[in-house]
Amino acid sequence: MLSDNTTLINQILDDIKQIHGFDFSGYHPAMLERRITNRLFATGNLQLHAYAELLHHDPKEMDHLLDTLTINVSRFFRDSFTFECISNLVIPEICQRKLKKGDPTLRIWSAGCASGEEAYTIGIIAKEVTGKLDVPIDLHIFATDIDQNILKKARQGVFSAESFSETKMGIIEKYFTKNNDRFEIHAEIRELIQFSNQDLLDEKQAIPQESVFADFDLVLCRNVLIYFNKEVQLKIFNNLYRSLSSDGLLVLGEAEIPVSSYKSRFRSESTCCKIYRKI
Amino acid sequence: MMKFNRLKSRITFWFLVIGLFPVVLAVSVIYVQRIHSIHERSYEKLTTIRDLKMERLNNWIFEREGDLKTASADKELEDIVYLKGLSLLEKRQHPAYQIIHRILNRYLDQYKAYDELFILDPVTGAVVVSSNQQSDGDIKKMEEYFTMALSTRNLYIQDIYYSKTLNHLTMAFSIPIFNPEKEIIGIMVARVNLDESLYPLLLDRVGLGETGETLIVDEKGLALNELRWYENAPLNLYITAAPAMKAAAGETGIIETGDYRNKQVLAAYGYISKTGWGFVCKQDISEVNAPINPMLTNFLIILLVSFIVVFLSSRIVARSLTQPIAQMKDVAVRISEGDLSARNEKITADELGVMATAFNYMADAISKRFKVKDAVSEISGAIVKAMDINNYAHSLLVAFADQLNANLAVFYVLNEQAGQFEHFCSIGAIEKMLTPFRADNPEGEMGLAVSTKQIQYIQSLPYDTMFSFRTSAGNINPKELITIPLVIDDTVIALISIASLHPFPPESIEIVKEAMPEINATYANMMANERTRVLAEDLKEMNWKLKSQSEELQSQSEELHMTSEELQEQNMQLEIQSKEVEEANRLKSEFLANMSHELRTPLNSILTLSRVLIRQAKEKLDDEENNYLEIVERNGKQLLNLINDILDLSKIEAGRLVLSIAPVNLKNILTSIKESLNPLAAEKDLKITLNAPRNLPKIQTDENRLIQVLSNIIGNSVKFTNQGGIDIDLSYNSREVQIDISDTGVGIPDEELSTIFDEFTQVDGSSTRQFSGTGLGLAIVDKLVSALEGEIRVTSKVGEGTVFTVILPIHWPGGNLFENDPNNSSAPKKFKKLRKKRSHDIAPTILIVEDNTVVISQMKQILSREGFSVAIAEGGEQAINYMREQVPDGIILDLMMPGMDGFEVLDQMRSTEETANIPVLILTAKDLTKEDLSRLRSNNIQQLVQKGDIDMKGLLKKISFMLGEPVDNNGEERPGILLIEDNPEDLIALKSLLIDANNLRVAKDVKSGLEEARKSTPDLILVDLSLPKEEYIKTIERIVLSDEAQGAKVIVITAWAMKEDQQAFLDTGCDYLITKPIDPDEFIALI
Repeated sequence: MLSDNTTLINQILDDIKQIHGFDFSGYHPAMLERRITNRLFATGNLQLHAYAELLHHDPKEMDHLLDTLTINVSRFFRDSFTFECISNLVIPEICQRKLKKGDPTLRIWSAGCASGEEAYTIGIIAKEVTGKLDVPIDLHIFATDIDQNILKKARQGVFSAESFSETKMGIIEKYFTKNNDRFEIHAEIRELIQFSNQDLLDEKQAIPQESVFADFDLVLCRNVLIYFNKEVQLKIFNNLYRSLSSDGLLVLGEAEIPVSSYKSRFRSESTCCKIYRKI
Repeated sequence: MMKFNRLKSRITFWFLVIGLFPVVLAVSVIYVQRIHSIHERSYEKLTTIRDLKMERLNNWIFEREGDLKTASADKELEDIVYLKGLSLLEKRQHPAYQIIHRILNRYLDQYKAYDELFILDPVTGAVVVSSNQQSDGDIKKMEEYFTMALSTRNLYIQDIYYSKTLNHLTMAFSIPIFNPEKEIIGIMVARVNLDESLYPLLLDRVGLGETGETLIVDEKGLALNELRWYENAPLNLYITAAPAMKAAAGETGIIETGDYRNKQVLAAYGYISKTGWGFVCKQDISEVNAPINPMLTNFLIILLVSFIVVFLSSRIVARSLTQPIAQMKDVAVRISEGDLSARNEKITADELGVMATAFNYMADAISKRFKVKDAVSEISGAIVKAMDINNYAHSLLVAFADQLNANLAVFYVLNEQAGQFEHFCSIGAIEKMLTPFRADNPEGEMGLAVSTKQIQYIQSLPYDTMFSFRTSAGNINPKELITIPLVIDDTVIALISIASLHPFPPESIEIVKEAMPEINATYANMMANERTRVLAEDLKEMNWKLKSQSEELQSQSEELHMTSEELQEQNMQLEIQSKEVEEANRLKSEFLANMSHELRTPLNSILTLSRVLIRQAKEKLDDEENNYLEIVERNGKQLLNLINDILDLSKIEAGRLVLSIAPVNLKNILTSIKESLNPLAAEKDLKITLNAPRNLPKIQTDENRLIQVLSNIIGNSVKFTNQGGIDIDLSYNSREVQIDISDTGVGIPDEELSTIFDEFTQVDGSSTRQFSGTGLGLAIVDKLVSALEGEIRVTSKVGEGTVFTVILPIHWPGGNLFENDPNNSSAPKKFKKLRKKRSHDIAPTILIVEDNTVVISQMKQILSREGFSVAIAEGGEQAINYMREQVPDGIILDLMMPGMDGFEVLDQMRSTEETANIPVLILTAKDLTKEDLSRLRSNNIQQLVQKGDIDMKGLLKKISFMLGEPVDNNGEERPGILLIEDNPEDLIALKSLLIDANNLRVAKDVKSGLEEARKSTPDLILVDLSLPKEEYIKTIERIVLSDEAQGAKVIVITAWAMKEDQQAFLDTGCDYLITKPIDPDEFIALI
């Protein structure tokens, strides 16, 4: 029985990999099973094979499953290891390189920012890291999403305690004001981030309008590709590639990798995080 | 709650209630208390009687017992034993008998209560001795008194019983007689006479009134004495009434209950233990309560009297209070029913009286108001019907006279021209006395009315009034006068005087005042109507006049029409002719353009290839062959110049020279021309000197044409001067700038000075050989200078030199500089070349016009880093203000801004001289529509960048392009070039030019070109196709818009050199246009 289930789950994961190109094989099997079972109950199916069948016919359910599998809840410092890498390795390296070129700016784009946790996280990191340098660095941080409503929420910068499960206490105290059970981000960070509406599939406007020109040093596009099939992913990648400066870095979600046609144009920077450098 | 319809009833009712309540309450309380005490007294009395009687009964029984005990204890009675066994006679003889007999009789005498005393023999029961000798010897053996006394050996009381022997009711006491040995020797019996002793005791009814009685019953309730209300009761009647039963049962008390007759009685009862009797003492309740009734009667009388007194007094008070009110009510009802004469007649002195008086006043006022209203409505009714002013005035006067009982009424109307009031209409007045009077300050009674504009009421008229009333008895002067001004727009325009022989009714003034607003309004209306009527009549007349005039005009216009038709016909002919001329002109220029195209194409090959040969084959060929090549090239160039000159000339002559006027720095131009000619001059060891005054103003002119003119003249000077130098002197006044170019050259003979500006003339036919040239240069110069509204003069002396003087206006005399110049967007191309040099020493200023601060900060950063000086305007207005102060070298302009948007900024700056030619880069996030694009194009836009669709390098490149600066390719890899060329010969030529480009790809047609572009994503696409013009343009458009060409610069090479054609090519969106023949150096620089 158990082995039956495992086979079925593997089959579902294979399907996801084939259709969407996402590889969940690295995820903890128990967790995957738990989450798939959640969907099983949510759809009223009691048999895993019936659910597997449903996945074949219903693309919406596939989206739901992806949502569930990727935990579509943004948190500050989600994948804290990735952010450690960004703050300790990536940003210092970019700053050094750019200062050498006589360009004291840091251009960052959070593509698909949702309610802004990632953008604010990167804002806090950038502020922290550049604050330690001798030379002042101009931060240009842009965050975009296709959903106008969620952008409104992002601009407010008010979050509930659940968003902070991976955040260090010191950071919360330094950059947030507690108001009842809500945490409001300080204006110094909020004003750092330019939130705007943008469709990642728009070929005419590969990057946020406010940023005028591409040349981003760091682009975060995490858990976005996961929702799209390979064709659409390619379109998104066209834009992401255009947006990056030469030597620019791209951060993807844990289950995501560059689409095949772009593989040769990116170099993985780390064995454990999804950070890629444009070559 | 009770409801009363009348106040009087209500007051009476409440008086009664308040007055009687305490009386009724007091009487009730006293009554109840009295009844209670009566009851208490009768109880007490009856109980006392009962106790008294019972004590007496007990005493009586006790006495009897005592009697018997005493008697039986007499020693002499012991002798009775001696009588035993003796016969009656013997006994009577016996002394003992006699003694005992005597004792018994003595007792009998002593106590009247007894009937008989006798002693019985205890054995036989026979009477031994008796007080009544007749009963001696009677046997009483069976009697209770014998048996009971014998058996109990004690006193025995036999209850009341009926004695047959005595034949009446009796009661017996018996006691045994003992000898000293305590043996019973006899029984002594005493028979009681009840009528003598007991019954009188019971029948004593003192204190029991008429109905009271006492009675005793035995234990079974049998009555034992005579009753008041029952005959022969004793031993016959069993009484079952409660008191008797209770008494017989041994109880004591008092009770109200029914008796043996079933009558309500108050009964006290008790128990007499000795005899076992129940004792009852009772009296009828009716008698007991007898004192209550008179008391009740008394109280009722008191109540009745109080009621009558209170009722009567309340009626009187209520009546006095309600009578005036009722009167007022009646009056009010009558008034409301329409009887306005109703009034309160009885007026009391109190507050109600005051109220009644006030009520009467009110009724007076109301009735007066009604009268006034009626009168006013009568007046209104009369005037409303009036159709014209005469009718109006008359109706008004009649109505006034009627309502005010007046005898005389006059209507004066203001005659504005004469400035006086004139009689207009009157009733009852003698008209000749009614003279006009001055309007500004009339005398007498009218004066006040006119000046105060108020109604005037005069009560005692003087005798010399102008009003007089004629009667059959002669003229009478009226007594009272009311003068009414009719005021419209604060001006008295009419007066009405009403006079009466008698005093006016009291409400007259009020009627007049009340009626005034309507009179004024209707009068104003009437006047307006009157004026309208007059105007309408005037209008009618004028209409009629106009009609006749228009008829006249109609006939004139018909004539004109005929003339104009003739003119139109002539016009049409003229138009046809002019079209023919135009067509001829077009054909000519087309021919010229075609010809130049046809000439240039082969020439291109010749020139390009000869240049390549000169460069590459120099070593391979010998000197002479090299010389040949140079001759080929030189002649080719000359031929090209000739073609260009001819084209230019023909264009100027055809009046199709298109000027692009802008402020031009003359000194800069001359400096650059000087520098460009310096090498040539240096060859001949000539020196070119430029003398320019400080503060030389910029002049408004076409820069390129001016360069052409000056280059030509200065070039000529260099050409025709072999030694010495060339001086360029600049001078100016307020209107003009003068440029003197003097050389120390060969000079021009006087006779040829006049023809020097003609075509194909060169001084000294022979010199043509010595000095190259087409002979068209000065002709073009002359034509261009006059096209630039300037003047050119020449003075010369053969052998000494020549002075050319060019005079140009500082301010362009034309109106709008751009209206006739839609195609000037190619102008900046050459403009750029001049700027090239400046950009190295002075940082160009770029004005960023943008509302988004984030964009500003980014742009500022990259521009500053590139060495530009940056100015910021955060909106359209700011930008315009900035440009009033200083002129930037370039503008980066956002389109969508709050307030003044980018389009408006463009419109404004392009229509201002100073800013008209500032290069502009549009940086926008707007999705541009066709209209937007054409609007931008007409405003001479150098670059267009979509926000978010470019990278930094691209943006900087675009900015450089905008400023006309050479693209800085230092340190970058060579761009990939795609060449699309369908002519094999040209392909060779172009390839040879692009030999250094390491990344060159070639395609022979558009299709393969686009395929190649997809593969190699070139940075630059060069297009040179031999296609008919329209088709070529369309093809270019296709390439520019194709996906494959995105991100690449498109350069088009064409032999269509005419300005209009160039514009058509540029409109396709291509980045650059090169006209054949290609200047190899320029071409490479551009690439």
